[in-house]
Amino acid sequence: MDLLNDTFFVDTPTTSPLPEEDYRQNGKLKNVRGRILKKLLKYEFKYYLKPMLIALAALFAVATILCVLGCFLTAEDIGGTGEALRVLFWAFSLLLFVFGSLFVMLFPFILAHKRYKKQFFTAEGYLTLSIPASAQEHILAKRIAAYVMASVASVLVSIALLLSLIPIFLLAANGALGTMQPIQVDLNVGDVIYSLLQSLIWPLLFLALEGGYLCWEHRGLKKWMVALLVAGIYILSMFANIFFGSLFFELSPEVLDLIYEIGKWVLLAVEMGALYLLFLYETKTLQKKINLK
Amino acid sequence: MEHLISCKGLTKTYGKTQALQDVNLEIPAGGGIVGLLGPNGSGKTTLIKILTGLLQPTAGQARVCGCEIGVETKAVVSYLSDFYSLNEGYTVREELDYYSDFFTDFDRLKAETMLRDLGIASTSKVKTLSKGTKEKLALILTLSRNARLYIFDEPIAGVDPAAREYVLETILSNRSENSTILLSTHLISEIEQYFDHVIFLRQGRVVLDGPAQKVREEHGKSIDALFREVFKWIY
Repeated sequence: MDLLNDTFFVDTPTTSPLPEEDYRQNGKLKNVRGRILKKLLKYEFKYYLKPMLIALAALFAVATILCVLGCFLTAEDIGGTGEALRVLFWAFSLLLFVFGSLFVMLFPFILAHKRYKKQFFTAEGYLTLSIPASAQEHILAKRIAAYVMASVASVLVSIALLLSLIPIFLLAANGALGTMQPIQVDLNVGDVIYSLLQSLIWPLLFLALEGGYLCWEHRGLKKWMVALLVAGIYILSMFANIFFGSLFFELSPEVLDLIYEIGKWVLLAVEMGALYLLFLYETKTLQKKINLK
Repeated sequence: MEHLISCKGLTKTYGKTQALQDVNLEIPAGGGIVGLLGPNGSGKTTLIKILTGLLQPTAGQARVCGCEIGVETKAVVSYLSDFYSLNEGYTVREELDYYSDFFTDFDRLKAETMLRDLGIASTSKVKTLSKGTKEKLALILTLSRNARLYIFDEPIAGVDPAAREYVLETILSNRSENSTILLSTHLISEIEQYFDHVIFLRQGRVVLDGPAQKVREEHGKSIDALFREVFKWIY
């Protein structure tokens, strides 16, 4: 018996229409596709909500304690031999708080990386990658949620820091820290937009590490290569800015300003382009190379 | 004639290892249980992963419901991996929400009824459930979809004989009408009676493909006996 060549074919007729046709005819599939990113985002934000709320609540609680403690310890009517020690204790607590704040700022990235690994590299990946969403939608949802959470955390951490520094502001207001000059900043709309766009880069660079990790895991590229490439472009762009700026230092200030203006926007475009290329490569890797164990 | 699953020249290599070699298959729509049979390492999981869109073939083409494998086919294929994949951080209710949100064919009422019958509380955290309960939950979620194609990768391999019976009964009694089940296993004797169609895979190649009854008649023996004969040199 040669079973290698012993092949049967079935002649059972198709009994029901193709479901895709049903979906397409009723417009259901299109609606489902349109809502997928929204749904993915919903679950991404849900994942961050609890741990971030706990971290931020703890941060604000400590900030409030430090604020009250600071106001008490730096009050004029508190004196005695232990005053310097108490103020030192408060200043040290403040320093620890600053480090804690930095951790809370980085916390969304830690959570993002944890989720990324869990959803794409563990058994959970079988479910994640079975839902009718494209690789682009998966990655985009994760990037957007991580980015929004990182931005929100940054703003709230800044507010918490300001809260903890209220005693210092009060001291300054009472003239205890000498006369302070107001800082004058001359900004135009272009500078503001540029600064905002430039501030987009660093969290994306951090998130790009995930892309590098995915590519390495699935033999797309060597470990961290993609992330290093993007980081390299970013760092080189800064050096290039300084270097080319110095080449033209003999030119008139107006021309230098113009070169600087053009240069910074070109470099920003290069950075953004590099990140976009990484996004494309990452989604392609997820789509083509992934093989869950 | 449209086929539910069609593979043409499907090949998958991992480095120098050929997991699938020129697989040609045509499985009709319209009901039935298709047994994807073969020993460990024969390419069953690789074929399933390709059909579910979790893996890309090196060469050839696979289609489900006439569509290339992708987002559209994922909407009509209900897949249960041998890992019983679940969102571990969720409660059972949140798991149902997740399925309701992403799968339009998910029948929540059916899932809730099955969960109630098994006494699985919807407020329980998935990670606190026992291994057996997790397996049952994953099975319920997979079967509560009114899918065109159900794919089960070794659903009875790691469970005790009593649980096997439960798993098989659940699969057979809860699948949606006109659906097709593709079930991979190497424990054939347990399930042979339910097969409508069988596919034998050996070293990444299809060595037999046909209606179960026709195979039995032509070879004059059970599928299990035939399987043992075909694969006796492998063990």
